[in-house]
Amino acid sequence: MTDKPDKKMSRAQKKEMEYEENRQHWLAEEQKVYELWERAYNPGGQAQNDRLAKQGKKPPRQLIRQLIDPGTEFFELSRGAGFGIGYEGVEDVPSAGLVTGIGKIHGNWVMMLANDSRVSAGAYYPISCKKHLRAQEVAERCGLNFVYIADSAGAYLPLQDRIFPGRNQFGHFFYNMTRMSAKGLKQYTLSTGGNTAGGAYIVYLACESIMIEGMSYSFLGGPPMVKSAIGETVSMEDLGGAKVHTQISGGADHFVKSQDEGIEKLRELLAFDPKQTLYIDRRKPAEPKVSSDHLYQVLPKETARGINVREVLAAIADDSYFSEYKRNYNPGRGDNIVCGKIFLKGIPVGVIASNNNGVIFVDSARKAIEWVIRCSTMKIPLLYIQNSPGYMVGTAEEYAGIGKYGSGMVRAVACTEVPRVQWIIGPDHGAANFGMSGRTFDPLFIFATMRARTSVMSGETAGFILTSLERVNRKKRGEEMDEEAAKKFQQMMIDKYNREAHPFYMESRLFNDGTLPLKDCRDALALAFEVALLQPVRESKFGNFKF
Amino acid sequence: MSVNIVAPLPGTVSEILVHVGDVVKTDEELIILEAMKMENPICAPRNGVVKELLVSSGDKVDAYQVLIALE
Repeated sequence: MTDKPDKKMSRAQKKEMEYEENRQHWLAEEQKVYELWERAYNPGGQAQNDRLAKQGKKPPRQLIRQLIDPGTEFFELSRGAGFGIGYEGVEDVPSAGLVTGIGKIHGNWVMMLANDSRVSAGAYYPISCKKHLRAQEVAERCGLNFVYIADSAGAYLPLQDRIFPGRNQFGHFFYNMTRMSAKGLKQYTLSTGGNTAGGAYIVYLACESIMIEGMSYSFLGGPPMVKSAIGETVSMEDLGGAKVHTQISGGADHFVKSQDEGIEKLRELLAFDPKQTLYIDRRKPAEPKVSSDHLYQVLPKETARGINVREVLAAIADDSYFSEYKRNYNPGRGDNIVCGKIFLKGIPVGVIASNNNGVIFVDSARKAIEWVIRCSTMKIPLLYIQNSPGYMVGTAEEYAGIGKYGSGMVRAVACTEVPRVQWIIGPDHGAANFGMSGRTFDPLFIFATMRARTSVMSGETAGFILTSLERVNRKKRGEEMDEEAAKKFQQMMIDKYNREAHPFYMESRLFNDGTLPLKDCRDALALAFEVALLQPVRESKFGNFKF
Repeated sequence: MSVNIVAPLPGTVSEILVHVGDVVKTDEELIILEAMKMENPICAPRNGVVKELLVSSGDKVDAYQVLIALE
């Protein structure tokens, strides 16, 4: 009898030790996030900063901080875009050469984009186009006004075939500007450098644009091209400077003498907008009851280890309160997805969260479908917490209709009109990526954490399958694969998959909207839902479910 | 009333975290089951005392096989 408390103690101690190990692990992992941000903030190091200062220009993030309301934060998207992207001769395009994000101006949320002329003079690589278009997409879907701080050399010429001719490329910026403007979303441009050829449209297409004397230039062809085409000799300032376009051509609307003055002018233009409305009944926010490092403790350092997602919810929900739907439904299978409601800084949010090992069974899939429909009827937004390696395999589940119910999850997620945000805190593989609102299902935002791993299958599974295939292929060629060769090949495949599934790899290619430290996730999710609810939630219509 | 805790999916018992007689709380991890290339914690559905351990570390188990009886 006396030894029982000791055993109990040792289990509690074991848990405590595990929590501490997790915490240390995630804190160390997140150092890499801060290092990535540092590389994004200072591309080209001091030399580029000095060059910028010499031109009398401030770095883009500094201009944005000056533009937003004092005392508020700029919520930057996709800082890690373009790192390790590996174009011919260009390994990194820091932050894809432009800054995008959301901030408040006169109390209203606004999307902002600023070219970073420290990265290849602000030239657009394919990934820069993707990032520019992504910001426009978010703005259009949320109904946000858009501010462009433009300073770009235009298309990065060696890669023109991947920047110019396609649908989701350079020209689509201007298509979007005009369509958004037609919808009543203001498009304002402050030109702080060269905007040449097609790039000049960012000035002319803006509802109102600002040019800076001696700093902004816009022309369809620059002086060298004019010289070669028609033999005319002209300076940049006389061809397309601030004075030319505000006094003669009328292509730009406001003349200022410095970046500071330009930023003030932007604030002035945005001062006349009506105050935005939040289309949901927001309660008074409350802090979670658990400690601020709770997430760091409860998320296992091994990605392949099951989680208790209710502990995760406790770390993000107001008062750590979670109202769970079907709490007792078939535990171990039915609760591999946990559904319910939380308040997130006062905003009611429906939750669909992977639990345990995250493997989706028929029971969990059915519950998730029910919950998507419930939330669509209630018109509350949906948070998908992704930690799922896939759907359950084997005859038992196939016969029970796992494919049918998996496709039901896909139909539900694709057709619901409530705003959706995905938060990845673990494995994110296969069809579970679809049913849990991955990138191909257009959630408004996807935020990753250092525990996220996104790929068609896990590294371990891929290693096994690809090695079996390789063995068969070699056999066809009459070659034997010995154990050592098989092991080596398998490890190669595992490494490849693990590298490509990493959240930084995803962020670099805009497959998520940013990898966030765990401690910042509650704030980010709350902000995302607030921005998502600036327009009324529409009625949802679902097609033909199979039951 | 005793309750049987079963394997939710077929797999291998990789770790047993409790002993017979242990007092456990709701959601406390009892067994780690390796399946689908994942480590799956099997947790207590309610407060109770471990009455019987029916598997050992390394055992292969079927879906719905009883792992632990909880009282």
